[in-house]
Amino acid sequence: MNQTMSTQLLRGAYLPQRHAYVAEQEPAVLHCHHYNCYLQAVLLDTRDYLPRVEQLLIDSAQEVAYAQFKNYFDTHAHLGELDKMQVIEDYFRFAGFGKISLANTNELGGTIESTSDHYGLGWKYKFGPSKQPVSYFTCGFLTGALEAIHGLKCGMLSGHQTSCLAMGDPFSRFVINISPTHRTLAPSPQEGAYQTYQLHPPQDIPVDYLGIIEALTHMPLEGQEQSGLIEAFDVMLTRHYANYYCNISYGFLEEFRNEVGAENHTIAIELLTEAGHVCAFNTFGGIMQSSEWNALIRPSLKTPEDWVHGMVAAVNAFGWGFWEIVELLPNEKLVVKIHSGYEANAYLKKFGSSNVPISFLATGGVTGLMNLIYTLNLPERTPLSLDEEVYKQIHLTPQMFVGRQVHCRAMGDTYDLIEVVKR
Amino acid sequence: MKDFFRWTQIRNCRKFYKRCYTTRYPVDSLLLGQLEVFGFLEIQSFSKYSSQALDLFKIKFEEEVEISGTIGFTQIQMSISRSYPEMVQKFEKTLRNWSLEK
Repeated sequence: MNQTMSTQLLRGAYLPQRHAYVAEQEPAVLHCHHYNCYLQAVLLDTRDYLPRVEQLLIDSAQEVAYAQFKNYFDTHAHLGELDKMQVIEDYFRFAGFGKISLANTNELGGTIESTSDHYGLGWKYKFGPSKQPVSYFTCGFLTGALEAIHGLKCGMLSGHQTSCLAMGDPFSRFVINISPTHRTLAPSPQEGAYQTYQLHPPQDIPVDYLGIIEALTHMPLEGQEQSGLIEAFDVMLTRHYANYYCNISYGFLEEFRNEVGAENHTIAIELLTEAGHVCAFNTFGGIMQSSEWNALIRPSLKTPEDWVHGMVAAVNAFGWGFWEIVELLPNEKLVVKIHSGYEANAYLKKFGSSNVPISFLATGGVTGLMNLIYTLNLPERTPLSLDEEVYKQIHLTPQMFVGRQVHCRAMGDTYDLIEVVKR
Repeated sequence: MKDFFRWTQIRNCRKFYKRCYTTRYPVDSLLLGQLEVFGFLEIQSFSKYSSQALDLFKIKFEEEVEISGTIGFTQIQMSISRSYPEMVQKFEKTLRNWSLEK
């Protein structure tokens, strides 16, 4: 790394008063390839009747990358074109998205090839080979980033993917051109309607919430130099854009309402919540079997309830807001209160109020945690290979846990409240 | 070999052998010294953040080998490229020799 480069890194500080990582006004959240790919697959499964979802995936990434890098370059006006390219290549790696080079691009677009791309590799690992390109996020990211480098308006360029690691190609290739049609993309909600808060760790349990948060937020989680991927907790992690998830989730919900009918939107809500449940199964399940967990958290755990607390403590370091357990009845009920959840932050800023609860990831996540601990009995069964067969065991259990959002900030409440009970 | 450790496959993976080993003794500095032949050792000092926590070790060599675990605990996660099955044998031999030395 040369001296110039060392002074212009874009990172994203952890803000303890918000439990958020913010990089140039864009909040970043930790999510793994299971959630990233599964959520995308949910949307793609509807493309036969929602033909805009593929463009939604690209545009959503374009909007957030453009907003972030435009802000950064506006405040670092001395940077030349090559410096700006380095900033973007470096941030892409840092966030765990992979490795890219923008050398063959200019203000008219260009071609970018990547031999290591989180979505292409993550999809292949999770689902096997794909028949179509899958790196919509990367495509949108690159398009928005190029617009920011060259001072273009968001939407002037458009990108598409012509080869993909997930298809077995040796690299993913993205082609970016001047957009043939006039497109106006929505501005990013940036930091959203966030809250400041102080976590109240429970006093009567052995889990050291504050120590866990401190340790996890200081872990050197960034993409490897060679691959640009973050391999930790037995998953491929990303420091992803909170607003990307919100753009695609709420954009999908809106499309669903428009095309299928508002009266059927519970189907879309169930799909998005299930994505959160899958996230918990894989991400929480991976974390609770990782060496990091065994070193940092497991030494203090004695009961299954301690495991629930240990995981909730860890979630507070993911940039997902403040998670607090209000009620935990062993193998019966869990109630979690969330302040400054990233879903509500973005929704409130971008759409205003909602007449239905919108914290889909949180609802699925809290539910998944109870199913891991009690339905699967993970504390007693670890190490356990968390594959499709094991996931099916949850759904085959008559008394699996199900969740619902009782309070929602987007509906006027001061916090989100998720309640999980047996079905 | 079974007397010295047990292992469970923790992920189905075509590229890597991914296993979780349960060892007879808690991991100590003697074992870490012997495992360093597999790659570069990193230690995450979680104990400086929480009095209840132990320290994490990771031994990595490029994208081919990752061995991690907790110093003072009896579990080790191993991920070794399927291109090098002999490395798995070497790793298990290291565990066995270390157990004999204890």
